[in-house]
Amino acid sequence: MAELSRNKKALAERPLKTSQATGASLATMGIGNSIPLMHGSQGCGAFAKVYLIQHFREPMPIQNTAIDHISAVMGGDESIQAALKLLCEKQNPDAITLMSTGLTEVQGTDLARNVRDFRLANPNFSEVEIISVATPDFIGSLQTGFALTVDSYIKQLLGDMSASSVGKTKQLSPRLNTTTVNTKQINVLCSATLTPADIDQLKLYITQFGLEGIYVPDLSLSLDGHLEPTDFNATSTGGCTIDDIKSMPDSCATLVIGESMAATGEWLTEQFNTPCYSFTHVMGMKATDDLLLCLQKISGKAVPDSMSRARQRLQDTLLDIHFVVSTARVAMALESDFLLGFDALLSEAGCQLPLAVTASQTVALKNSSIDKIIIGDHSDLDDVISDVDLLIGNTHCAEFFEKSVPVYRAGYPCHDRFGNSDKLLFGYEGARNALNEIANLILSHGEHSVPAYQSPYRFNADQVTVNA
Amino acid sequence: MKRSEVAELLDEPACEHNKADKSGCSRPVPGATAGGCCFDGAQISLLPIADVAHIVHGPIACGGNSWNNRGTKANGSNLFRYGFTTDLTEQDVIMGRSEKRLLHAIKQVVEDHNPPAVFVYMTCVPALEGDDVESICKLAQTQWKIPVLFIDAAGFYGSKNLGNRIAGEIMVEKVIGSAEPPPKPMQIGDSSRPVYDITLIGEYNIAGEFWHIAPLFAELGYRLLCCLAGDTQFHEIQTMHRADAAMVVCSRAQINVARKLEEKWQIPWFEGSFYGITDTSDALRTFAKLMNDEHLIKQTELLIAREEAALKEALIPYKKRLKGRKALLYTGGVKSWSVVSALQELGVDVVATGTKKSTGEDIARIKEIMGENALMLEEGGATNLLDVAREYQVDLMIAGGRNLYTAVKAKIPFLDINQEREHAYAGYQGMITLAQELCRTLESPVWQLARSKAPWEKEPVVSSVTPTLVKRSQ
Repeated sequence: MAELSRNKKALAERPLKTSQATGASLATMGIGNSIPLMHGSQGCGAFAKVYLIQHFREPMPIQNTAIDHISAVMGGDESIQAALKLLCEKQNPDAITLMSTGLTEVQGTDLARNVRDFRLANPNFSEVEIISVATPDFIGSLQTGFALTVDSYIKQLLGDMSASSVGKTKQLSPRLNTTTVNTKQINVLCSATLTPADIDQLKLYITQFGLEGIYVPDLSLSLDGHLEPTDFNATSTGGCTIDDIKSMPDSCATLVIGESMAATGEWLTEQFNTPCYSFTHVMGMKATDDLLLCLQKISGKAVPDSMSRARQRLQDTLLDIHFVVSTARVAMALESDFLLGFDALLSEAGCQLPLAVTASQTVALKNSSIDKIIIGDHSDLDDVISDVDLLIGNTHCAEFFEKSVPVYRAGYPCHDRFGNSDKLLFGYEGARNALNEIANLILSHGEHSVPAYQSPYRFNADQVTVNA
Repeated sequence: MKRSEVAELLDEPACEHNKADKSGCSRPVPGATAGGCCFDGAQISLLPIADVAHIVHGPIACGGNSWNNRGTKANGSNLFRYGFTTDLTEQDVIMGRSEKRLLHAIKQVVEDHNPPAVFVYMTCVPALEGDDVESICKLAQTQWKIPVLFIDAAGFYGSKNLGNRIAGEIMVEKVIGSAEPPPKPMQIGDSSRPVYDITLIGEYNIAGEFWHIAPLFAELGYRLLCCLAGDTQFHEIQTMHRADAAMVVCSRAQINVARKLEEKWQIPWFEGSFYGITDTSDALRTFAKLMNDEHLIKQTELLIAREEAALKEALIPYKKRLKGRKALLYTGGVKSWSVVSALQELGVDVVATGTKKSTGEDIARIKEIMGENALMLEEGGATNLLDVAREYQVDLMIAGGRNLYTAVKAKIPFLDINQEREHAYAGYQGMITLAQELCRTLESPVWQLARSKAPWEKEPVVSSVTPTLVKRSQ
């Protein structure tokens, strides 16, 4: 049981968090042919854009409504209408995520009404899905903005079809009449912790059971670091399609990976009676075991032999690295979904977890094996830094603490490292990969040996007299 | 090297094995040996002389494979880490160019690194070819006016122990006594007393563990003339003959050096160990006794009391965690008992110990420490060790790096105690490290995970081999 507390300092220094809209933009990149449209001043969009570009080393087609001094006071609705129209005309996207920011939330902008107004005024763009997400900067963080976006996509695209909406909505979805459940199809809600490489690996797991997943969002099709045949793309270069999302009610189960996405999975159950299997993470052996058992149950198929082999490899890795990793003291600065994953991974290897800093409080945090969790910023690490062997955190964390302690890069942003898309943390393979890297880091910085000692009586070669 | 010379080296009057029917310098058994060769033994004895240019004269295997595979640490010049070798090629062998190549190699190392001395190690290929390495070394010594020593210990000459002995012999004959140390300074803490000069033989400063001990010697007013060889420089070897006393640490292989120091320069010596509280304290006491100085004896007792009290306090939490844990120890020679006592001091129950390289004297000490019924393992080998481990349901195996992954694959917690290790276990401080490392592996949750079968499998993945008992000497 972790002891949770909140950093009560007035000043946040070396912050851990970033804004919800950045998370919303990232999630949008996993929806095919889509555009994140930030309703705010130019800076809101630009900052998030640079942040994500640096992390992924990929272009980010993030747009904004460019609220200026006039629209800030007089209302920004016209800017929304203009921006939506321009993007629909020029880019013909499949979807636009219209997200708010601190500025426009304080204004009191009603994004949903704006979308309805746009629909009425522009019936010619009815093919473009416009999803509104309230992502004020003063609530939550990247993780929550990411989750909210996925939630909004699913609820707004499927809301009309759901049983609870029957009678309230004007038209009855044709799907509701066909109560067929596709026993091969499952919904997979992927939190911001899953890298493109993680999602690829997850797909491998799922297809081995003869299942087909709808991955929302699917960053492995857009931010996996591939080159497109076209020179320039004003929309996301890949991801799950709107049709995929619309077929989610047919799925025989929902897998949720990340506590932050759990509510969306539950909503799917409420609406469509889809059984939901919720994982706070799939990092480490036990969580992966559980996922495989779950897939076995959903598919009715045995776990493939290759998985047993992969598990044995992880077992061997655990033994090999334990000489260095067991009892290592590790502090972390991560958002809660990442934190819970690393908690499991490191606890299995016998690490001590004296302290973690995270951005927001969640239910599952209480059950983690971390001694103490502070909802705060990197300054809360200062006191433990001399007493830990390793830190897990982002580039900012490394910048401040790497001189005194090795920092294993995780979370956002990691703009001082290449290959963030390829970083594999998921499943047995990800656990092996991460544990080996962590062991190497500890080893290369480790001072196992005794400090060198020179006796005051030691003499140099020039002090001896050579005998003839 | 001539047969007669080898025979002479094998006849070591100071060694237990000379009298007993078994011999530590016996020939290796084809197909049943995992130990190192004569070259290996010579190299590990001398390599920690850190400022010397050590050139391995042979094809890449000898120098290349062994390069920096031991955890010995040194201050100052680390020229010994460079892995110099003549890297003989097929053409060198066929065309007989290896002698020339060696001479050029010495020239290069002298010009590039300006070492105080060069050691040239013979290996099997040039020994079979008949390279006259001795003449090359003499020539080089005249040419560049620094000692160029021929370490004639090719692999096939014999065992690792023989190599240790050859190396020691060369130091005694060619290096020790070739320079005088600066006059004894006064003690830092007591300007009325000069320092005591001592020397250590067979201390390799693995993982820097001698640095746990060295400050204690300095505090008591000892000047360490030389450590053969760990954190050592060439000129220190030259002055070893001026020591007031010598200690042979944990390696009987170089007992010949101690005997010759006594014969040639009347230096009293004793055998001891820095593993465990008792042994460390005993070593300090013995030195004080040999100095025959009441003041020093008193100071030594005070230091021992202080260190032991502090250590006792520091070990309390670990002792609680280690109490009653069962360990199987498999290591060579003196360590077979010195480590046993260190483990017992931590509350670990040592159910068996290896005695492959132990002498009758060692075995007597084992019985003294572990009781008459102590299980002694004459033979190592993976299956034998695993059988014993299973039979006695040990919690832990303590052995050299060679057995590490055998134990790990069998999912038995393991502690590396030999020269490849990364942790410093010597002295009082080393006991804390030892306790920490024991707890680290014993209490790690990975063992349970590694033994767990996949939840979807009804049968275990790996069929556990039923133990078949192998004969052991009791």
